[in-house]
Amino acid sequence: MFRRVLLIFAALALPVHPAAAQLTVQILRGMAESVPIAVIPLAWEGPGAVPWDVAATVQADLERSGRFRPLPRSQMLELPHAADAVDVSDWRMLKVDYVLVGRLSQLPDGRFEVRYELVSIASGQRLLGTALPADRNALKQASHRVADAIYERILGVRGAFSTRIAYVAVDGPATARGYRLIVTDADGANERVVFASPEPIMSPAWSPDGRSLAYVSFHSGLPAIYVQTLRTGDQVRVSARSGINGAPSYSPDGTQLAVALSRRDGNVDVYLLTLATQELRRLTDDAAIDTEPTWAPDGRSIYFTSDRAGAPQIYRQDLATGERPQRITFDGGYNARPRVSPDGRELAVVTLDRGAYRIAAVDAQRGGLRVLTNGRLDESPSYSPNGADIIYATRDGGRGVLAIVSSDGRIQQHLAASAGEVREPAWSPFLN
Amino acid sequence: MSASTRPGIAPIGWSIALHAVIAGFLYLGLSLPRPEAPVMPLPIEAVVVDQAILQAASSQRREDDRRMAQERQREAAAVEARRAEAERLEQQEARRRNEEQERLAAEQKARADAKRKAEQEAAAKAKADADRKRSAQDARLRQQREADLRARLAVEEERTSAGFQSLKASYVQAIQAHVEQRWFEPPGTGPGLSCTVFVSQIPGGEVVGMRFGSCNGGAAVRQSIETAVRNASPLPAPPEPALFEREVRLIFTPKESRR
Repeated sequence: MFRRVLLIFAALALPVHPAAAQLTVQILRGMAESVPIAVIPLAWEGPGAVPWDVAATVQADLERSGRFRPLPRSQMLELPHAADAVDVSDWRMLKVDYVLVGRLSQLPDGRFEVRYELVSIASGQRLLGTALPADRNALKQASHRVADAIYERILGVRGAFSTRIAYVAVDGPATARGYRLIVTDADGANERVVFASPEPIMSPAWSPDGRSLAYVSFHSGLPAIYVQTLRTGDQVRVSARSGINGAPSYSPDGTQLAVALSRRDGNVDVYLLTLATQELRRLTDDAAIDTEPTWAPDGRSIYFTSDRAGAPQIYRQDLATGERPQRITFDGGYNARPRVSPDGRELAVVTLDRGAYRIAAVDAQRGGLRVLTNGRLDESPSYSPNGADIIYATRDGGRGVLAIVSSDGRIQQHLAASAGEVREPAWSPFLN
Repeated sequence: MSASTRPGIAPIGWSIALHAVIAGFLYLGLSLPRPEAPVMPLPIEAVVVDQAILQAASSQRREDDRRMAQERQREAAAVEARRAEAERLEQQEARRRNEEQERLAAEQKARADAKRKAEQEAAAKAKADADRKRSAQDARLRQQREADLRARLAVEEERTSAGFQSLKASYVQAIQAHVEQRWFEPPGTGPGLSCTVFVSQIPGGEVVGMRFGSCNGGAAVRQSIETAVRNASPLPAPPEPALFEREVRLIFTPKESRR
């Protein structure tokens, strides 16, 4: 009865035309796996054959990222080359959200120009419109940059298609091994051997400017740390101390390496090596093994692996305070080989998950751990510079191959492997 | 006390006196002698005769005179009677005229009264009719308002009823799932994101408009939401038509970090 009275009052209080009532719906997650896009072949406005299929490279990049679902060319009903020629309703029928159109032309000076426009089918708006000049042999790089721009405009994250990957390839029978340090484009193409040796090569690490690699090589018979400039091939030995010289990691400003050294006492600890002066500073001092250091992006702390608690776990050493390192991982009995995401919020680690070594993401502040991969022996995670993906090494048919997992764990894919066994991938920083 | 009664006695005394005087005048007025009708002089005829004759004549004359006097008396009485009769008739006539006038006046008055009464009655009737009509109209309006109110109450009550609420919840869930399946959540979004979008739909679920409310996401997030909403058209139909709302507020608030 009382409720009824209340209702009457409430009803009386209502205006004659009640304000439009609303339904409120919370959207808590995006379930769409990928973004449907049509990358239309560019019109070639020049003499002779098309010098490069820009659209094919763009389409492959987007598809490989796992975040885009390009429409196969065979399903395209029309091939417009300008935004104002895109019939939104046609593409909507094909369930495409975005369309890339453009033209490739030759400039008077002999160079080429890629002009492209990105159209949102939802709004009909032109989201991008750019012209990129390029030499004939840089048309593929220009194509990657088109893919980068699309990726960034649609996903809000800078694309990493123009970056590179370094890894170690191992060939030959056990009696005649060959080790090569290789750098490729992010799509696996354009493979270049940086350094080759019959002795093991390990732990490649990119300098922040992307111009050099630091790595461990045994080619002198003992492990030593080298820095090699990619353009010139110049190789500099930066640490050949007695015992272990391992796991170099560049400081964000590029002036220092964090390294794992055992020195004369055989106790592996983390040290900071200033490259210009060879000045060495001991960072950790523990009877256990402290190794695999990596810098936080802000340069203020270093994460490393230590078995000081009995089994490998991740610790963080603050560089300013000098206080005892803080343990980060508590989930699972084995967490090692940390790499910090570009935003500093997460670590990619190798974790022992139900008897298998897998890649996991660890919350850098709270320590929570999410397993991202499902291999048996996944190792050596490395973040893409945009933080969207993690490249790692895994086994496929008894061979070591490279794989990529999106940092949310949703998208996993193996990269087409060259012959032989591939290990220890390291994703470059942004290069332009 | 006595001082106050004295002035009261004097007017009463005056009043009595005044009444007496008025009564006196009235009496006098009533008993004033009416003017007599004048006696008409009769003409005399004389003839000279001898003595004897005269004698005889004289006795004859006397006799005649007596007769004539009697005759005159008779005539006078007759005149008086005629006069009285005429007066009576005149008075009767006057009375009759008076009565006639009074009758006519009364009739006139009666007619006027009747007319006035008829007019009054007509006016009253008209007023009554108007009143009745107005009150009927009022009643109808009131009834309609009550009906509207009841309908609104019924809707409100239904809306607050448990069954309706659970239908509404399932409608909300249907829209949520429908939009979530079409939203590609850009990497890097997460619990910090909050984007409100007001979506206008028409019956049948077709999305006819959308606008962003508060949104802390960047261009790519907005783009992803816009695309999701467009692709979500038509929105699912409500399990109960009364649940349909033209405006749906979508709040994009990811619970988990999307890296």
